[in-house]
Amino acid sequence: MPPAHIYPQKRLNLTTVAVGCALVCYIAVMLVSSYSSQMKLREATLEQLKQDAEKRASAVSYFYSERKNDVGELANNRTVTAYFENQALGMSMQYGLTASLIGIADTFEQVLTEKKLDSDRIYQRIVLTDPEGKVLVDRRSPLAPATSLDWKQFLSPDNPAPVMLIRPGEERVDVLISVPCYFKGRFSGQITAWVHSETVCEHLVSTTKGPASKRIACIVAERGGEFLPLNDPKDAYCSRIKDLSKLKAGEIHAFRQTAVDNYEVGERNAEFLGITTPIKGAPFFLVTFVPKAEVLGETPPWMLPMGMGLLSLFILGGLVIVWSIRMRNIVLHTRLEEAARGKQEVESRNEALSKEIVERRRIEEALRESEERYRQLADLLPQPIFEMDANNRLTFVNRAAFKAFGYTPEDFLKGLDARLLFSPEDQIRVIHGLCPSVREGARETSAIEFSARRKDGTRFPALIYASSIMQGDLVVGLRGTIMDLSERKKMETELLRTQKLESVGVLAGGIAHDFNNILTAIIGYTELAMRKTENDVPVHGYIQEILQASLRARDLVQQILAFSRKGETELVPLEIDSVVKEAMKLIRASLPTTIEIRQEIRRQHAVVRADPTQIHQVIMNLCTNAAHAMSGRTGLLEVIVDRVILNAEEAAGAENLGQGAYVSLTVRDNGMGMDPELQDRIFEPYFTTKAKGVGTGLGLSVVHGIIRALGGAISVESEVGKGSTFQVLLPLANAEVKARSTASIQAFRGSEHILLVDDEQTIVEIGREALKHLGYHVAANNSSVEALQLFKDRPDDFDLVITDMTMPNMTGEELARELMRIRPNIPIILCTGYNDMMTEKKAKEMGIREYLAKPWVIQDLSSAIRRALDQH
Amino acid sequence: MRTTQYNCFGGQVMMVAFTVFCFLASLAGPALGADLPEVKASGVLRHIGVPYANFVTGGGDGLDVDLMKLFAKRLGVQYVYVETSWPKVIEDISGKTFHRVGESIEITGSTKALGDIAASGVTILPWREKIVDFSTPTFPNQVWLAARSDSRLQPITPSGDMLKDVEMVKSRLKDITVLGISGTCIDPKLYGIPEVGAIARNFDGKLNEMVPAVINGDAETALLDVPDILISMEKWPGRFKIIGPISEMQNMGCAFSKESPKLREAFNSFFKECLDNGVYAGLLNKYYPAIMQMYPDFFPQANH
Repeated sequence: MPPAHIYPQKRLNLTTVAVGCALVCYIAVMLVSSYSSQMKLREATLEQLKQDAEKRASAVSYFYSERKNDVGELANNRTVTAYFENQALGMSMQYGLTASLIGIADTFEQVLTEKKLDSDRIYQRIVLTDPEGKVLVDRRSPLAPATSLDWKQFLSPDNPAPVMLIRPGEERVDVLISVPCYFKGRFSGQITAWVHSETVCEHLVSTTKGPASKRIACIVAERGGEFLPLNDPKDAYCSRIKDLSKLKAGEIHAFRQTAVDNYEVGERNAEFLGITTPIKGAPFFLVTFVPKAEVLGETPPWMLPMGMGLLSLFILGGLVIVWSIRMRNIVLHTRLEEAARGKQEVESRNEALSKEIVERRRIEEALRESEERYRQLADLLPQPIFEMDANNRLTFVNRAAFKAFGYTPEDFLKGLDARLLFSPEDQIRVIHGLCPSVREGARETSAIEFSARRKDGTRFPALIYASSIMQGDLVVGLRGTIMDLSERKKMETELLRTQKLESVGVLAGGIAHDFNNILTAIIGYTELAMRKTENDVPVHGYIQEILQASLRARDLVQQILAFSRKGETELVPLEIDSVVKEAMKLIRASLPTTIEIRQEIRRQHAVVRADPTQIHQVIMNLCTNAAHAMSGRTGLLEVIVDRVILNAEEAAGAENLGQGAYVSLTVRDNGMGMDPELQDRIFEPYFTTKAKGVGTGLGLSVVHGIIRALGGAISVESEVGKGSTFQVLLPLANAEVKARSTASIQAFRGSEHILLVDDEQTIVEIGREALKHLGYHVAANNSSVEALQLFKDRPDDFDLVITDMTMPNMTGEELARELMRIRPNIPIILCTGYNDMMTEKKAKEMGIREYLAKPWVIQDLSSAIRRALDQH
Repeated sequence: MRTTQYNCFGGQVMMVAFTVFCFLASLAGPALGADLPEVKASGVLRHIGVPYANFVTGGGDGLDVDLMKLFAKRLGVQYVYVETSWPKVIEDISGKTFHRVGESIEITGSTKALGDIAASGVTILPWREKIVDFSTPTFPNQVWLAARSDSRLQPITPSGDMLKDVEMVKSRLKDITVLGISGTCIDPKLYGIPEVGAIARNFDGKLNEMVPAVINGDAETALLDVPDILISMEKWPGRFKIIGPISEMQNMGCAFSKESPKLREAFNSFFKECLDNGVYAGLLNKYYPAIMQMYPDFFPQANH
């Protein structure tokens, strides 16, 4: 189907015919107009020829008019008139006039030399004659002939105006301008000047317009019917024109070469145009001959229109051809435009495609970056992440998965079945546990706890979360995360243990107060009994045993409280080696000699921040256990103090420890050793391998609790039959150790007046007796309210107040505040069996001088009293 | 255009400075005019002149100024112009003081010669020849009597005899005031003017001012030499008239100290060359174009 914008053929033909007709008409008008223009041009050319001749005639006329002025001015020149004046004064020619004539001659010479046409002189000769025609001054140009004339013929005394004279010479016709001179109205002389006629014609008349021009012009004078040309002899053929006289002035005549007496100027028989133009004010006229062809051209006027017609026909034919070519070009152009549009469309599509490719690349890059980002994030996660297809084949796992399960990326690339991650007994349960959720289209499955299996076959508890991978409505796989529950299980165990300890602590705290009160009475009375009996009587020994049993009971209470972390601890910088040495003295005394004790202090003055009593307790417990493991045979007990530095890797492998420096306390024995199961339980409270009544089962639990509370760790290595090694690591402290005061164990006596308050009557009694035994005056009361009233009544009677903490109606703390309000400087000793609400630190902050734990012994009491009183 | 030395202020300053220098040098020179060797030795030709007609115009040129410059150039020495006055010109060139009575000369002493050659249209007179030497004549001269145009005196009609014409003029001078300048070529005493009954009056001005004095009526007549008359006829045509000759034909020339014969001889040789080669004719056409036509016999070479 042709394009819609191509002209229909019929319409095109009509347009072509119309345009063709218009062109033909236009050409016809152009031809007529051209012919008419040619004719007008010829007329204008002839008119211009006439005007040119008239212009030249005017120039010649003006020229000779100027010459008349020249000669007239000479007649009135100052030098000429001076001569006439001197002449009139009577001066002789010999004495004066000659000098005047010399001046005139100079003036004439000046005119001869200065009046020029270009470089050619205008004047040939200037002559001054006296009224009789005698020459006075005669100046000539160098080439002018010194012709002797009858000068009288030029005298014109009656005609004052300059006149032009024609005088035929031997070779040319001379033109003379003559003017009379007058002095005081009298004719005094005549000046006659010869004009160089050839110079005039050469400069003003010559019509030569180039080497090819055959135009001729000359000035012709008519004298007595004879025509005298003034020009060069080559132009003299004008004189041979027989019918020159017939030429009418101002009209153009045409004639052929033969008419000019065979004087060949151009081609023989050539046609000429001639025109005569009179020169105003001069006795001659200008004759101009021009070859007709030079003026009007050789081409007849009809030739150009005819040529134009032929040219128009040629152009029309050419236009037809051009039109047809143009039409074909239009079709081609249209097709080219279509092709260009198609190309442009393709280019635009290509451009869109390129943009799409760029966009897709950008998206791919973004996806790649996103995938990389998520992969990195996935790798950063500590939990294993996986993807598996419908065939249980793992398609993706993160770095944590490799680490958790022990597989390598090469294993993954080879293809890894997800079921290998589950213990054989859990595979079916886990897979079936996940699949129902997937079948139900749930995005996420419920967590399933299972036993995971590493590549090396070891297992660990784990929890799996998964969600389905969908393609449309089709589930094509699962992706999820596996959580290692090992730590969680361990923490749960620890939590359970802690809860158990807390329950023990609560129990211990609950009974500790009452138990201590009881022990206080027992120990107190026992001590009094011992002090009142002789050492050598058997009763004294019995009483001694009672006291030892009471003290063990007291220690048991303290261990229970410490184990449950209810005990009072004070962390101070402590050189552990000194504690070890002190403890080892006690150990040495209590162990049989079959056990060799080897103490090795590899690092002196290693400081830790701890409670000395607790560290002492740790050493004692560990050494006691070691001795127990070697009971009944010879053995070696080694206690080693050292300093170790844990790097990051070592710290990560140790429980409860960080990177840094630690004090190592190692207790090693070569006793019976323990199997692994036993090792796992030794730190459990109340777990003991000792016979009933021998051990409480709290020793290692207490040690474990103390070490953990101090930020340290304890580990055990043991082998059945070879012995055990306990290593305690405590953080190395960067602090100085205060010197420990060694308290005297003697009882201090005094005579001050002491107010003793305790709700337990037994305690009041034993306290009164003990204080009296020490020499003090005692006012005892089992009611804190009454005691307060007593103090209010006589505040200055008492030097010291000893009060229990836990009392009905008013606690020891409240009583102390009231007492210090009444008498701020009253020394107070606060005693307590056990109380969560009060600590030694808190009591000291209140202003209480001493804090004394029950059950106290007399020695402790006496020391506290003296410290409180001596501060006063 | 005179010389390029005058075209700029710097050139003028240099010229004046050089002239002053040379003048001072001349004052320190010999008492008499120097001869040729001395001139060449000194490197300076001192031209003594008086501003007069077109010989020394006073504007740095003139017929004699140009001629002296050419002569100095020929000698290869520097040209220096030394201006004097007509009464002093003979003393300045001769280096002698004198007392003149008629045609007699009495040397009264010596003075410092200010120049080597005096050229300023100096007329060769017999008394002058007694104290200085003259070159070959360089210019024709004659003393004419001029009167105002309305004077009662009428020009004589030449008789063809110069002496008769002189007597004819003198015969008309009885009781006529005649203006002249003493000590110059137009000194009335030189021509016996008082003896013919005329009233001789000495003119205090310069020679160039004689014709204006007559035109103004300061005197009825005045003695004028031909060069001055030629210039005056151009300047004031019809204002005065020439009565006739007072003297016979005279000559002008260059004056030299009598102690400078070699210098005079060198000049004569130089002048002859100028006549022969047309250089002098060119100078005449420049300053006195009519003179050669008036006295064609005096300048035969120039009219060739």
